[in-house]
Amino acid sequence: MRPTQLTSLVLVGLLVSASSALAGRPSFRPPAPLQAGKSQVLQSWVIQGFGVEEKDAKQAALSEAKEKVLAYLKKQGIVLKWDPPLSYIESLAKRFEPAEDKELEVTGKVKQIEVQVLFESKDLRYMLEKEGELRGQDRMMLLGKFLAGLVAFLMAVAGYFRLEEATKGYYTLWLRLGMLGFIAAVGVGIWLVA
Amino acid sequence: MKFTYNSGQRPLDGYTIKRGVGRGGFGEVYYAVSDGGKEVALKLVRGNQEVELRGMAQCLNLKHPHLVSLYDMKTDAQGDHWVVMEYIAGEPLNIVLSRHPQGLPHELAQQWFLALARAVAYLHDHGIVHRDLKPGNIFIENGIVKVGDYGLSKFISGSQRTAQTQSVGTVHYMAPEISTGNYNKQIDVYASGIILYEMITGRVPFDGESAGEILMKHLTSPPDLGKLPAEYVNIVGKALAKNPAHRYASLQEMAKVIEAAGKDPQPVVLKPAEAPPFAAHAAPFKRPAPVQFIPAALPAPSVRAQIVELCGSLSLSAILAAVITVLWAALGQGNLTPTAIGQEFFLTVAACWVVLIPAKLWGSQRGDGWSRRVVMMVLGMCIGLGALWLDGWSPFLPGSGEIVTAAAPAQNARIVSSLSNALPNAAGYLSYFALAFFALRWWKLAERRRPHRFSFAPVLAAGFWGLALLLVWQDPWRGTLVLTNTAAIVQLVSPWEQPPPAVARRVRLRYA
Repeated sequence: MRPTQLTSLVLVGLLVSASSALAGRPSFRPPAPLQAGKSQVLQSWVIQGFGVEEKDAKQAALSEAKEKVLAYLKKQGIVLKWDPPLSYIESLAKRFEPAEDKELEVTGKVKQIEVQVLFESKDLRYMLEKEGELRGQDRMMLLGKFLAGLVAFLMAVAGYFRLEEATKGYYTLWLRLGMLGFIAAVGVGIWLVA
Repeated sequence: MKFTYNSGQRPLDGYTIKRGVGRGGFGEVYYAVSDGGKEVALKLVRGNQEVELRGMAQCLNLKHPHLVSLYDMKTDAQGDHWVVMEYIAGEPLNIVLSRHPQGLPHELAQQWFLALARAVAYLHDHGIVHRDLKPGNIFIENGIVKVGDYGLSKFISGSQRTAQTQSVGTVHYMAPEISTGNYNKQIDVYASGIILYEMITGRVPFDGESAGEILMKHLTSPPDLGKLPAEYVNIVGKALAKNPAHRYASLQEMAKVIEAAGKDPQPVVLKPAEAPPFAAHAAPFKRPAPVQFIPAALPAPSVRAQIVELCGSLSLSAILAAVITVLWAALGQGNLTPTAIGQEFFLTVAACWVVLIPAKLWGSQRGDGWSRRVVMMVLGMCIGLGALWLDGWSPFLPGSGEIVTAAAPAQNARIVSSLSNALPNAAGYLSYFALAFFALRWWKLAERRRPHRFSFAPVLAAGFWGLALLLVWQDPWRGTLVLTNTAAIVQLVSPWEQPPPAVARRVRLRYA
């Protein structure tokens, strides 16, 4: 057997066996739906929020909860581009104490609400999935712009040479100007879309 | 290459230069267009002016389907001499031969040689010796052979031999008797034998480091006929006989022997349009055979044309991938996420380009299939990496599949991430696409001479392998769709030419 054939067969064999071994690992399979009791609590906070109305107090508490979660993740070295909406943060809240009236020196009468937030591993998994989706979308946007520019360039080159051959060199200058203009127009369009 | 005249100039009345196409000791050749729109080649004669112009003048009224037509001879305002002739857009035979270092397919070599023989025999019938036959003076346009560059041709007077003529020709194809200055049309038979040898083996029979060494070999060394197929040994051996009297009396005779060797049931009959007065004692004149379309193996397009084709194929594949992705999304009835649709589109485009670019580089040359499979496998791995990247994978964040936490109280647990979380995903992507691109001969889908313009067989084969590789990757639809779309799109965007009829029937697996 020729060396090239032998080398490629060995490579393929290694690839197949390695990938099969890795494919057998449970972690490779798509994550199974989370079951109750399978999630570990990573962190918990008790947060107080103040506001003129109860809903304002609740919003303030949830905003602070979000800041706490993001700060905790940042401390772990995990910086997210995904901005979790307050509706999701609300799902992390395990306990809402009823709003109380409070008298503050600076602002006067306000409503106080206390929230206990539990941040579990399933929540982190969800946030990482969302982060991955967002990153993927950003990358696809970037790739889409690059591809649009590249395809426009390829079309311009192919069209220019074909038209130049068809017109037998009579309109070479016009065709070159047209090609450059087309590429410039596509570039401007991509920039505007961005 | 710097030419005397640029595009748009009109050194000769009635013609506009478009671009220079060649330079040599003879002068320069330009592609030009007449005021009426006719494409012509303009040859600015420099160098051996007297020899060139004399030769051209003798050939002005010759007409043969396998000869480059000469239209006119003119002198410009500066006193430079020009020859107006037929423009050949095709490639010279030496360029074709450079792409076939092992020689041309025998049927093709035979067909092209017969056309060459007809053209040169016509010249001989009209008393002209070409004197500079070589692959660089033989052109292939749309499968039709054209012999050109009669610049060195010489009219033979009533006597069979000329005395003391100026030495001419290109040394690899120069007959031994040229050094004596005493030669006739047999030098064209000899040169044709050299060309036939080169077309079959890919090399000239006599080569060396200097012109003197090559000439010495012409004079003294026998050609190595062992490299030729059995049916050509005697033919080439006779054409390359050192003694002109031992060669074929004419190229017609040599052509007949070659046809018999190739078992062509239709022997060539050459009939010139009129009999020249001096040739009363020569072989019977025959009318030139009709132009024969030679589909055996058309020369590959020029580099520029291939670049244009590749650019067109790449851009068209991206457009078709977008169309197919939109259709797929529409069929998905809104069940598909934008992320999935985007990934499908980009992976399809990447897979198409990964097939089209190497296929264009490899051209129609026969190459080592295993090496190509390995190259495709490596490129498939790159697509797998791209798929991983589009999935949003980052080396700085843990994968969502498994969160590992350090042993700690429930509160303030420390998240321990490791790259090993991402490895299974990466392995799946890389191995899926690597194996998919290794398993099939994808470059065959883009071959110019593939059996059909479009065939469903490779699409089905791609789908089969896409599903078979579920062992590796458990995301069936996405990978399988990418592979089947690629198989379809590559065929649609790749140029196609009708392949020649098969010499022998044989069954083989084309795509697996």
